[in-house]
Amino acid sequence: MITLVPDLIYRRARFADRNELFHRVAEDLLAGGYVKESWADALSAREAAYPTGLPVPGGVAIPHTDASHVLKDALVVVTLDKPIEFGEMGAAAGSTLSVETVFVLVVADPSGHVKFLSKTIRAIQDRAFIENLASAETAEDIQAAVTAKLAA
Amino acid sequence: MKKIIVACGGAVATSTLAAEKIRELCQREGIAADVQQCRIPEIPSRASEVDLIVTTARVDADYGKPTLHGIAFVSGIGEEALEEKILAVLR
Repeated sequence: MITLVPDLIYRRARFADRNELFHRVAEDLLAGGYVKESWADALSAREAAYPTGLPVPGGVAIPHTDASHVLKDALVVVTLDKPIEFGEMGAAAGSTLSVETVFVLVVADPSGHVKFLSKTIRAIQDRAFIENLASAETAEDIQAAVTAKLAA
Repeated sequence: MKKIIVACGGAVATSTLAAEKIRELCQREGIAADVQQCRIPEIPSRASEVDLIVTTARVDADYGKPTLHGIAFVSGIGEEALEEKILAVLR
């Protein structure tokens, strides 16, 4: 299980686009010792080649990149004040969708976290859960909701 | 024993989940299967040894083996239809 820390929860955040979001998250992850400097570029490249936007209710993206750029596991949760365009996973090149919630998966050892990853992905398919995050009044509420959901 | 590779961009999240779902499916249906994860660029070098390729990213290449899109395992939309397609290849 990967522990969610308040520093990596961004509630009703405002970003012009996904690059601005990635930049901010990368800065904070680097400062917290979670990733190597190479992570930011690797994340952007991975998202460009293999987009992670999912057409679940509300639109959720799960950006992540190769484990070799990760030092320490983390889960970053972002709820957005205004939706951001992401490429759609598995769709034709150039097709995008509006995303209101972003889960950045920072995992050093994917095989050790099969359960965590599958629970996270099952969670984002749950409309009530995503709506609950969007309406949360504090980062602590988001932390509690995600922690409970992933432990369930 | 059926050999299946599940590929995504980084062999991190989506292929981990899809591989897990395919293992569960095979177990449930009594199909002996060896499910392995890899990255999309590794598919051509491994295609000859497998019965089925499942990808969680869009690929247009023809690997000469049955290839299915595994996005349904990630989005939850159309999961049963995908399971049927997988079983049709493996049976």
